[in-house]
Formats: sequence, C-alpha cells, structure tokens
Amino acid sequence: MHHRSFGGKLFEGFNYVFLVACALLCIFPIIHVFAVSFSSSTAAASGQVTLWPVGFNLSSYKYALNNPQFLASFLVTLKRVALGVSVNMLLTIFAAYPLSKERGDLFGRNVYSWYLFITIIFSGGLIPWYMTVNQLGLMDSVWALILPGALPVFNVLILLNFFRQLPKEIGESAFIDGAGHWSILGRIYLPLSKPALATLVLFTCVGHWNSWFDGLILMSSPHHYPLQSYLQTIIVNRDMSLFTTASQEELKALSQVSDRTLKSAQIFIAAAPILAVYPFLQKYFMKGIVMGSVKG
Amino acid sequence: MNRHPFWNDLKRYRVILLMLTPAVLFYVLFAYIPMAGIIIAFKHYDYAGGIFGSAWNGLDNFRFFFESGDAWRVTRNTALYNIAFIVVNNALQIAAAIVLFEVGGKWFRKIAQSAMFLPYFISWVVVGAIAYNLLNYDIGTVNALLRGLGLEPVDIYNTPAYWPYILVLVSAWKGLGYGTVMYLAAIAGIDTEMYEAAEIDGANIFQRVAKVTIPNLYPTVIILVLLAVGNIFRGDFGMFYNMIGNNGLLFSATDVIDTFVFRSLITSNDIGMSAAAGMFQSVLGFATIMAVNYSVRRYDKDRALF
Repeated sequence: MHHRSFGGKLFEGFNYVFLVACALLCIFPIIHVFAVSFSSSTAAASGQVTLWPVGFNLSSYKYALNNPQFLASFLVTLKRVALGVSVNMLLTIFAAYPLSKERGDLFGRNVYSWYLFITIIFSGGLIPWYMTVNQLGLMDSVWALILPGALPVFNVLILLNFFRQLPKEIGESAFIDGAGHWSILGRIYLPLSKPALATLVLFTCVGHWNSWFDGLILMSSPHHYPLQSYLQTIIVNRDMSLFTTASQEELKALSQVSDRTLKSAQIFIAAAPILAVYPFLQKYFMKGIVMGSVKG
Repeated sequence: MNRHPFWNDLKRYRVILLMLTPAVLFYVLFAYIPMAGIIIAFKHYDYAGGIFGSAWNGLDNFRFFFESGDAWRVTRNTALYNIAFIVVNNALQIAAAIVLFEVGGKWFRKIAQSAMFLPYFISWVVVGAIAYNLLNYDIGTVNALLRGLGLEPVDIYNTPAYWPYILVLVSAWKGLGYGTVMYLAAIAGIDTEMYEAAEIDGANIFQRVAKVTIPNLYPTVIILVLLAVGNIFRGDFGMFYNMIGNNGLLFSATDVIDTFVFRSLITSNDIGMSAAAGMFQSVLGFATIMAVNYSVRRYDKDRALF
C-alpha cells in the first residue's frame, strides 16, 4: 500500500475534486441542452433552465420530428454512415493487407508507402480539391460525401500495424496448403483482426455522423444536406433562407415552440445516438488511439 | 519466351497488386490531382478556362494576398492559437492522466474518464450551437445568470477580446479525453518496479509523481508536442467556423488561415487569391513537418515519421 501521510491524503482529496470538476465541466453543456429541449418555451426564453427541465413538455421534439427537412437530413446522414462505413472498410482492408507484407512479398513496397505518405505531408488545399470533386461529377450526390474521404491514411496505418503483429507462420502455412491471398485475408487475417476492425468501424461511424463541411459545400440542394450540415446552416449560421418553404400552418406550429427549445431538441437529437453508444465502445476507441500513435 | 523480370514480378504479385489498385486510384483522384491543381494559385481563374485553360498571372495572386495585410494577421493568429492549444491542452491532459492513474476505485475512474471523453464525440456544429445558446447576449444562459444576480450582461459575440480565452477553453474541453488516453497509456507502460523501488525508499505520493511518473512521461510529451507543432499552421476549421461563423466583428481576434481561405472563396469568390493563400499554408506546413521530423529523428529515431 501507498504511504498515507497527511499530504498524501490531501493530494488524494485534491485528485477527486479535480476529476469530478473536469468530468462535470465536460458533461454540463450537453445536460443543459437536454434540459432546455424538454422545457416550456417561456421558461427557456427567460433563462430559468439550467440543468433540469422547467415546465416539462415534448412539443419541441414533436415539432422537430414532424419537420420534413429535418427528417430528410436525418435520412441522408443514416445513408452516408451506412454506405460510408462499408466503402471505407473495404478500401482500408484492401490497402492494408498488401502494405502489411514484407518488402520481398510486395514488389515496390516502399514506393507505395511513400505514395500514401506524401498525401499526409502535402495537400493541394481546399480549392483544387473542391474543383476535382466537381470535375468528377460527384456534386450533389451522396457519393460526394463518401468517396473523397474514403481512405484515410491513418486508418490504413492502424490496420496494417495490426496485421503485422499477427504471427506470420499462420499465413505462411496456409500459403503452403495452397490458399491464395484472398482466402488468407478473408479466413485468417480478418477474423483475427476483429478488435482493430471494430475500432475503425467506430472511428468511421463517428466521423461520418459528425461531418458537416462536405455536405455544406458539395451539396447544392438543401434537401440533400446531412443532418450536421443542416444544423450548421440553420442554427450556427442562423440562415433560414435556404429553407423558406414553410407553409402558414408550419409557421403557426413554430410559434408554439420557442426557437430556443426547438433548436436544443435538434441539437440533442443530432448528438444523442453517439452519446448513447460511446461509453460502451470507449475501450475500442482507446485502443485505436493508442494504436494510431504507434508509427507504421 | 518473354521472361523479362518485370513481367514475372507482375504475374507473381498480381493478386496483391489488384488489391492495391483501388487505393492507388483513390489517391490519384483525391490527393494527387488536387495537388496538381495547385497551379491555379499562379493563374487568373476564369470559369470558361478552368484550371488548365485559364491564363497565367505569375505571382499576382500571392502579391494580392500579402499586400492585403491579411496574410500576416491570419498566419500569426493560426500559429498563436495553436501554440496556446498545445500548451494548455497537453498540461491539462497530463494532469488528468496522472490524477486518474493515482485515484482508487475502478468505477469512479471509469465514469470520470467517460465523462471527460464525451466532448470528443460531439461535432463542432453541435459545440458551436451549444456555445451560442450559452453565450449570446439576449437569451444566453450565462447572461441570464448574470442578470439574475443583478450584474451587467456581457456582449460576448461583439467583443473580440474574450475570444482567445473562450477558444482555448473550448479546445481544452473537447480534447481532454482523447489526450488523456495517450498519456494514461504511457503511464501504464512505466515499469512497476520503479514504483516499488520508490515505495521502499520511502517516497511519498508527491515524490512518486515528481520523480517517477513525470520523468518517465518526458519522451511521450516531447513526441506528442513535436507532432502537434508540425501542424501549427493548420487551423482547426471546424472549430473556428462553428464558433465564430461569419461574425465579422470577431475576425480581428479569431481569423485563421483556413477560415480566411474559405471566406475569400465563398464571399468574394476570389479563387486565385484563396488558392494562393491555401498554397502558402501548404508550403509552410510542409516545411514545419520536415523540421519537426528532423527534430524527432534526432531525439528518438523510432518515433520519427520518416
């Protein structure tokens, strides 16, 4: 056991206070949004709400979930997450397997490593990138949200490092038994790499769920905006001009929910799915972060 | 018989090369072609001509960027903000990691860590929206509390002087969980025999932290800080754009290269000058990464990027 001097106890007390303070500061803002979103509009507008709903009601959520634009954006986000994760994972696996091979097993291995690496240290910047996506005819389609970011070098590094740690003998003996690269990858490497794959799926899910910039500049019709781009436009930039299709009835319904509670409900819906799952998946994330900090 | 070694190789490695093809194509399309597109920084862009058909205009775009007076301001802001983020974030993350490692109670540790990790998972859009809810003058929670206490409300979105502090705080808040994990992993990797020896020598908890934990963290700190320094000219666009948006009143204190490039593109549609500013940033970034890699290499060869 550690020494328990007076100073030691004081230090331990300080540690608890420090951690509790950090933890509370980290969660307060989101609890506040949660509280406002369930409060009555008058209570929210007069600033009475801090960490608990005042005048509990669900009208903001009803309004948000009946708003066709919000729902459309929500669906775009679901679609981009599903498609984006599948495409990312396929590309990452096919890139990581060859690159995990020794120099003798892949001819020109160093050339490929440099080929990937140069893209990290130098980039053309926003404008040429935007023009390329435009030239490829991807604008305003869901593929514009998926293809340009489909193969992050960071993910390839994580997976190829993991592949390298697998005992080489397994692959070699399968090779002698006549297995080709496809079956070695599919039957041996992938089943053994579940922790790394889970980590990458999570990183990619969160990345796609939270992306907003690509939707904002690559989607020309607002009903193709993913959720975060939609919220960016109406809440952060407070620009309603793109979405002025509201009918008289909608405007009337809007007057019953305050702008503030409605926005809070939308913010909370946009953050909730990830907040609901991340504590359970946190250990994978932590592994991924540590793995990613090891050089490839 | 055509037994040229190249064809032999191609045949022998065909499966593996086939697997690599999508990746090679991907980086051609989304990394190398845009890299070549950087030539528009040296052109007078017109829509009819496109990247390759537009007329060259030498260094005019760069001259325009540097003479506008914006170049120095945004470069300085980018570097200063990043330096502040690096210092504050790393100090807090190291403190949190040490404290987490020292406290007892598995459940307490787990819950505290989950809570600290929460902001990492929230998008910058949501962070920007929450910040606006908290800080705005008319209905913001902070001002409601101030009014409730009978104090003068503060007009935060009209006062540039507050923003360096707010942005440093938000950056620390969002990055705390992520960075703590790295430092916690480094602490967990310290040889437990060192702690046992310290115990036998009668070290108290402060001496243990100061003489064992912190010196053992130096290598990790140096590497992580150096790598962060490599990105010192890259502004966190998501953060600045969602916290500040198009609020021109705050630009003097908050404009970074990335927001400047984006705004020149969107509002003034000045493609040539934005591309020149973007290229200026890429070149600065490249030079810094090279310098940083050289330093990391000298310090610890295995941790160097290349």
